Amino acid sequence: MIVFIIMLILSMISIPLIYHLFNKTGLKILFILYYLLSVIFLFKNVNVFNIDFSIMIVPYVSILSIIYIFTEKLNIKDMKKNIFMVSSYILFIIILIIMFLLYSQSVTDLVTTNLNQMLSKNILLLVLYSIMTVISFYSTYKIYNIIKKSSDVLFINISLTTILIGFIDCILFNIIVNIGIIGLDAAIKLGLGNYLFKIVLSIMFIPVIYYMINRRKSL
Amino acid sequence: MINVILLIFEVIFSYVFLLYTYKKYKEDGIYIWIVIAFILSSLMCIKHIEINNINMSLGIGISSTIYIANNILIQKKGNEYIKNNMIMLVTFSIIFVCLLILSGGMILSDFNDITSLTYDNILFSSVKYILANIISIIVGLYVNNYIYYQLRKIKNKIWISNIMSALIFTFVEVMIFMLITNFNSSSLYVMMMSLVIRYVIKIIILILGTYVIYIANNFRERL
Repeated sequence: MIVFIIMLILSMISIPLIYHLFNKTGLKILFILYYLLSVIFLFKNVNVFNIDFSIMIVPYVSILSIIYIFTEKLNIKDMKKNIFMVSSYILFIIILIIMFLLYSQSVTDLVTTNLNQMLSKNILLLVLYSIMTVISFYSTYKIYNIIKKSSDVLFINISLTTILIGFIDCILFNIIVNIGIIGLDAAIKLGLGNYLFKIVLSIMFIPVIYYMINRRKSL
Repeated sequence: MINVILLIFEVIFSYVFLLYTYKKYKEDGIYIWIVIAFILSSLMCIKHIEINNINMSLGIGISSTIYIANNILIQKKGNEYIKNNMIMLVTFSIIFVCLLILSGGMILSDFNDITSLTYDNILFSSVKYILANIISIIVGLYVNNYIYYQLRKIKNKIWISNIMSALIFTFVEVMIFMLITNFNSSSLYVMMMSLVIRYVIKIIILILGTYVIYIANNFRERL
């Protein structure tokens, strides 16, 4: 539990800290770094407060927070430019991951053998996660903008967006990728755990987003 | 043979993408490239491949492009921007390593526990490779910055600065990486062979990178 709290605090602090040190460029790098970490953390499910969930939720919520900040601070033209830039880097990363899998491993190395087994067992998870993130990021941006038109309260906007998108990127996603590995009941439990933590973490990130949005300095 | 072909493809693909980001996003693209390539190479180095029957870790191709991107920045902006770049690399590597290690210290769930256990196993067996990669690249970049900048001041010829600095910093970088990863775990002969092949491959990639710096320099004049 303590480790989880430290991880959460580090993720929360990193957003304003990186922006303070490296401006908008830093935030873009942080976005891509958290994407990479979320892909790695996909392979680890943890138990905190007796709830099971995937640890990838922490970097994932950090990415969504950066999307909210960009949506609030940038105009549509800059937002599109940033989305295109980040997407091209993510595409590059995906191609490199495929190449990484294609390299024929050294026969004597046990770590690489374990790595290959883990990746081949969870290949569906990797592929669907890449597709899901694109859908999820885009729908988060769209739904947040729709909700924003009828409400000015940041808390309501973020909570509602998270609750709506969570059905797809937590519950549905977990059921599809895990049903073949751990069964339907366990997949639903894991999905609900992810959903619950996503909502709680999104609410915890609101002060950070609020601070970033209300800075005088423009992005 | 497949590994050599993939390595060539990885290098070409990385250089093309580097030039694309530089042309499209200017210095912003280079900054992002350096950090992302740095993190990716740290992750890739946990996988081991064999080239000419010699065992070596991956990530050589993409890590070499970091130096070329860095040299493009020196050519364009001088030494001042490089300091900022080094601070950026150190900050992001601290965040990356901290989060990665913290993820390994959490209590596992009973669901899909074999995958989670394998994750922990791979993570703790690979920490020394990740740290070795991070330390060696940061030291290598520091040496490269100094040598490249001094050579550029004496004679502003890209190919002289790039090749001369590559010959020196690559040796330092490879030496640090090999010492950390192979210390007390393999024979001197195996270590020396790995060192030589890693050094030669990196030098070839970096010499090819000279052409990339020239192309990027031409972009600058056109932009």
